[in-house]
Amino acid sequence: MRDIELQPCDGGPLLVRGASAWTDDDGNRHPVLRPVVAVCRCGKSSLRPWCDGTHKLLRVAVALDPRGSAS
Amino acid sequence: MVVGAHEGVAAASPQTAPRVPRRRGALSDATLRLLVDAPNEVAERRLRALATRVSGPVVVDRDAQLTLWCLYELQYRGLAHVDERWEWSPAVLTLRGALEAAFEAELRRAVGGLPRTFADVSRESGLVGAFEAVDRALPGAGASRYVQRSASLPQWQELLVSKSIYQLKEADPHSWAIPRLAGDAKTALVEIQYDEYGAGRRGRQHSQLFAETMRLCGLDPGYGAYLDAVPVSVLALNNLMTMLGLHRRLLAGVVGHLAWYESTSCLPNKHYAAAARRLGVPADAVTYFDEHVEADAIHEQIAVVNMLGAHLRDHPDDAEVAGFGVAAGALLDNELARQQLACWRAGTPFLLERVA
Repeated sequence: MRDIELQPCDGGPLLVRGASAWTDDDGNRHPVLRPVVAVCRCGKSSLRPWCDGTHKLLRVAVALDPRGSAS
Repeated sequence: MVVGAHEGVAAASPQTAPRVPRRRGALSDATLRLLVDAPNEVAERRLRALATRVSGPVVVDRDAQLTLWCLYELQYRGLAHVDERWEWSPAVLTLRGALEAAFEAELRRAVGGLPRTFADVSRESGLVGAFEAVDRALPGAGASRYVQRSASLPQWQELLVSKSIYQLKEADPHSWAIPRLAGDAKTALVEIQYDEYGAGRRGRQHSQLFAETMRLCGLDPGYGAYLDAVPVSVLALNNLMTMLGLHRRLLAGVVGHLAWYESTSCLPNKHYAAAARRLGVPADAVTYFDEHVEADAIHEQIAVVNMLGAHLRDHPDDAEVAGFGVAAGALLDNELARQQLACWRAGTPFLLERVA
């Protein structure tokens, strides 16, 4: 299996390369359908677990936490 | 509301060469008349003579921008019934060069007031801050929010037609940079472009998704089908991308442009997806916009940090050119959005012709 590479982005999502799925904190398994995905870390995306750019609209700093794990 | 899929001109698939455009001014008329013959000495002499008569301003001159667009198209898919050997005709390149020189000089003057350098590229936040500074320097047009809340179906179709000149060859202008980049920046660009071209999945090229969206919204998805309808602002921002892409001297400019483009695309696409749903267009026509919300949230990080950031770390002297690509892209895009908003709020068409 390919190594999974994680790249946290400053103030933004977690880029995940080489994963086949992302499992969120509620145990839901989201298949990864592209070579690299951006996982929401601000908790405000409407596409969670994936990032939709909403973090750029936040006026106050929030704790960045991807809330899940890649496999 | 019922939106019929387009059943008209079926001859042009998204990948075929566009026909020679119909509406012309003196320069485009003379140029395109010469290009319908095979390359020959008389025509080449006349093209060189046309080059000596190019005078600005060309940014707002539809005749000049249409001519440049057509000459550039010789490098992409060509023009229907135009001999392919014109692509590398020295006379064509002379005329193109005269237009480009005026275009670039005008853009450099116009962006003089915008941030042109990235002072701190050693930290990711330095790049993000530079993009925010560009945005702050421009009037917030808010065109995508208007589309989300208020656009009528004809205005929605005008938006798609305006976007189609680029979106039907989406990602191609930036691909010129691939063989010219090295190291991490090249890896990052190819990672983005692989996604743009469908990530190995048939029919998932972003240009193909956009063509399907056009068809489902009652428009002709043929490549270049609406060249006659688009105002100069649409042609200018397309020509900027190709100019940056085709000149190795401007390599950092096309890298900067892509980083800016990806960084300002995610949220507008969310607005467009909402607009499409509000207008009741077929669900498959929304796919393109949903795809871009997800994809561009990924691409913007790769483009800004992994591509532009890496390129500027390796080539710190390129910061000025990168800044030019960012600022010129922002300027022309903002001008297009400003014109669209002004027309739509006034209830008048933005395009030069009815499209549906």
